[in-house]
Amino acid sequence: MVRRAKSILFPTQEIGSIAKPSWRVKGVSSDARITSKDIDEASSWGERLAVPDYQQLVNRLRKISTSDTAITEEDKISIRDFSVKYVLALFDKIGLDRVYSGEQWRVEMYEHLVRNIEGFKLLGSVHSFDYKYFTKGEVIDRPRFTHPIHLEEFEFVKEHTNREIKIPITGPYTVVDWSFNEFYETELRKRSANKKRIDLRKTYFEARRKFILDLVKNALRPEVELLIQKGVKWIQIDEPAITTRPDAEEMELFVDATNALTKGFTSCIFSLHNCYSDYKLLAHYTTKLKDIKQLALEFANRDSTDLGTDAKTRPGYVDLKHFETEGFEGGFGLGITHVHDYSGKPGSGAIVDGRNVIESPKLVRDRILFAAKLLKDPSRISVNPDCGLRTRSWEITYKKLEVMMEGTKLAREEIA
Amino acid sequence: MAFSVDSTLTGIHSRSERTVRVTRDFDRGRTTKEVLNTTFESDSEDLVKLEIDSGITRISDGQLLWQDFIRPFSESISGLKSGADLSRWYDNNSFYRKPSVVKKMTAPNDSSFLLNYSVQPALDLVPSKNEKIKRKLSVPGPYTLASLVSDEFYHSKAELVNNFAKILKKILHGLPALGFGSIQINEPSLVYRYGESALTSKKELKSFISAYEENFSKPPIEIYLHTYFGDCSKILKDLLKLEGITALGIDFTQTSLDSIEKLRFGEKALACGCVDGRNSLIEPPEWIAAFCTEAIQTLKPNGIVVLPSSELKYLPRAHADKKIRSIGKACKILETKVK
Repeated sequence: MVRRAKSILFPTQEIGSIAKPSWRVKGVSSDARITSKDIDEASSWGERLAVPDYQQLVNRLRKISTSDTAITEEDKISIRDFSVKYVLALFDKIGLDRVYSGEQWRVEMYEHLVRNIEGFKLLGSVHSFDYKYFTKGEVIDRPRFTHPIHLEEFEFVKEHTNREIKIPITGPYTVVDWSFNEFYETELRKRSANKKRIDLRKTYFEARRKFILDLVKNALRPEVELLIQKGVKWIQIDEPAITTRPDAEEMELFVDATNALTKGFTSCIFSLHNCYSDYKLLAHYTTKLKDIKQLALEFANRDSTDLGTDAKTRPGYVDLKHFETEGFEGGFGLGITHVHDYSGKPGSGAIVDGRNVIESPKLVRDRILFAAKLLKDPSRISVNPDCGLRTRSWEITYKKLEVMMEGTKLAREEIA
Repeated sequence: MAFSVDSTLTGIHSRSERTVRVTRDFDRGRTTKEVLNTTFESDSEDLVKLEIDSGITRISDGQLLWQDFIRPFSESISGLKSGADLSRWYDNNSFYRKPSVVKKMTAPNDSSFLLNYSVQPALDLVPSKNEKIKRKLSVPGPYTLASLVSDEFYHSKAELVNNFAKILKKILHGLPALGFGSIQINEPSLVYRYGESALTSKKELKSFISAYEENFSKPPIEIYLHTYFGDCSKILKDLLKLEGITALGIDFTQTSLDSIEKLRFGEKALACGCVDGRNSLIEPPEWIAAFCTEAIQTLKPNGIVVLPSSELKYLPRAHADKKIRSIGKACKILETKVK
């Protein structure tokens, strides 16, 4: 029986990725060796979280670590499956209401999707900063759905949890923004070949529009339709790229693509996740999103860590006003815990642990209460971390989620 | 004077897949500094050889050691504190560490600090006796620097721009001694989302113009001034009045030729950024040559410099290199046409 989060005040939810344990990373790699430290980690977390049959994983890792032969496909699949079970056990122990796989199944949010849609080709590494890079692909033909992308992952999660499931899917705007648009630009340039002059900016936008609408129609909608047919009730559309190009034509493109993706799927709830973004700009367009019922956003990162429920101590959450002013009537996935490195001196509501800030339950409570006061309706609020916690260790993730639950409980008591 | 046809890169080039692997390994403590240095050296050498073979006339080492376009300056200018926080590099999925101005800024003693960010063996491959070919460096311009730092000291953008211009002037005067014959001053902030982002008014443009006139009107070295990531049509007329500039650059992926067709370049060359630095599509040489020809006939410059609209670091290396070859071939077509 699936537990429904709807009836609970301030339901709690995960946003996306959780760090892949070292045994998960090495366990599917051909050139890394599993060490006793990795095995100990699998064993101690397995015991701590009471992961069903975790000893099977430990035994498998031991066998692999002493074997000279290559890791088999069966080993890889089993290790991947266990990483999902560990994440679900973590969420279960903490008591989250809406859960998923921590994206253990996926290489990375962009790559996972474009690897599984026909028409894309991964090109190579592009510099992000310092010695960090990302893999970028190009669209070389009209994108086309050929096989289910998230279904196996969903069915596995469904089999191993009785909590409400929310699937994160990388949104069309982000896929287009992070891909080279070779196919559509080439097509348009060919059409202009006989013209004396070409306006490259105009061509760029036309090509981008064609790309995104084809991607939605021919690849993402069939995937969403299939997932819904198979029982998916909540899809979170991840769109980290929106507002990075703040022009009106870009924002309209995002709105049109989102509406085209969600149109007519009435049995499924759609939410949108965005972070580290310009919320004033985003708010202006959210009322045009016809089927988005919840905005899951980062706020803790832009907030102070002092205790208090007034606007001065809660500057991060004051940004909710933009959405109220614009008339967005849906719910919010309220980011109440910071997910990246923290530098500086924390306020009265948090402590620093290495490169992490650990919020106190009271700080979480105050953030929720301030938001509830501002929105004038506590039932519009769900509680989550700012973004995926994949850059934090499991120990820190555990602490943060635990604090999130305790703080949410305090807020519920206060409202009651 | 004969119409000149030149070609160059816009700034930081893409790192090779091997360099990507080695830098990642270095970051994770899996390889040594020595291996890292050797890898960068061979990567830059490969690039310089490619530029020479392709017929590029203003040659750089790809500035592969520059972690971002601001870093050598934030690490070397006194008064600038190197930042830890990452900021988005315009509208790209690329980031820089935003420095803060914490006290009065002073220039480094000389320009040799740039050698720490150059691959000398690669630059030594550039022929020194060929008049047509020059060693080139791209740097951020004073307005761009002033727009991308966090100012905790001057509290006046005009003053900040002027101070950066003075520092750059000093650096620029030291470049010939380091073997550089050409410098490209990149000013994306002048045009990026004009009116809404960095440059919001003509008044602000004036502070740039006066700082420029004061410090760069009689340069000891050839200067290209390039604007990109935005539409330059609203400020091009003002930029065309600047003295001391050999070539003025336009990002044609953002600026339509129609919007500037009434302007004339006169004694300046056009740095024609029609090769898209942010798209994997490889422009055929014939297409580049045709685009440049139309731009030449419209804007009447005294020469043309063919270059990517922006840095090529946004592309995987293989594609960035293909763009260089295409530019080189396009220049050969243009030279024939000009003759």
